[in-house]
Amino acid sequence: MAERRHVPSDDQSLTKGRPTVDTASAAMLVESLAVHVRALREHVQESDQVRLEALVAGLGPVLESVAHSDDPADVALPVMQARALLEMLEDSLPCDSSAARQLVLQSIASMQALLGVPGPERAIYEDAEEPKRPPAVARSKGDPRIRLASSANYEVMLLSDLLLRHVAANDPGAEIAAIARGVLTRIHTLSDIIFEAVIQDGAEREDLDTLQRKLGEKVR
Amino acid sequence: MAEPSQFTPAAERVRLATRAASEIEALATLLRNQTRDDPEGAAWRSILRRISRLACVQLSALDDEVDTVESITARFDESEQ
Repeated sequence: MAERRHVPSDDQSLTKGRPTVDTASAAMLVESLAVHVRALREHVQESDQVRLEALVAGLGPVLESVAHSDDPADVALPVMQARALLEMLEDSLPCDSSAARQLVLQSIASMQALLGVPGPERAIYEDAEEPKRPPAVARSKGDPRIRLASSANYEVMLLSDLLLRHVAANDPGAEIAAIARGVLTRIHTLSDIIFEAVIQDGAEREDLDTLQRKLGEKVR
Repeated sequence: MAEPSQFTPAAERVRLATRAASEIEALATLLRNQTRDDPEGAAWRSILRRISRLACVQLSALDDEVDTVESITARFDESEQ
């Protein structure tokens, strides 16, 4: 389980400049975190699940306060609250190496980055317990699992394109259309990343650094 | 000094693909929830649900430890219906 990380109350990064949190991205991150926390259901007891979901529910209004504060002095308290909630959430996670837990840790790390938590204090994805899993073996296109992933990926790409065209043709000015365009474009990019990562083979496929960059990961 | 990656290149590719598939699943679910109140969004939601399921199929396919190829194939076929 991740080591407990305290945020010192005199942490200057709380007041030094305003974290760049806008309402839309805060809402999207909270929603994404909520989705991942709900997926933990199979791994934790019901009472723990209630606690985890309550912590996520508490984050919404706190992040909204961060997004709405114009004065850097006003923003310090909600930032501190949000960091504390994230820390409690991290400490409440089950001690396993499930994919669901990794996803929650990823979301926590994204939010901590948004809130200006210094790098070493973040629940960095790379710190998670995934390395304990046996390394995957190199696969070829003939592998039935890769064939399945490839078929599913192709459909995801087609469907996201279809929805993008639908958005462009129908309600291009609506607010939901703007959100949909952003989300669907990202889905298309992610689908492309999957193709380049495990389906495409030979010299034509993208190198690891490029794929990590496209995913938004820090390239080592 | 930066630590070297703890994964082999092949495993790193699987990790990146897994992360991408997870994000697809989360984004499709998010967008589906955003259109929940739109009475004309039923077709949208249906396609987004399908994208979510396909992302789950990808996640299972990329993880040797879960599900057999047969059960993943069954879920893939099911999501086509």
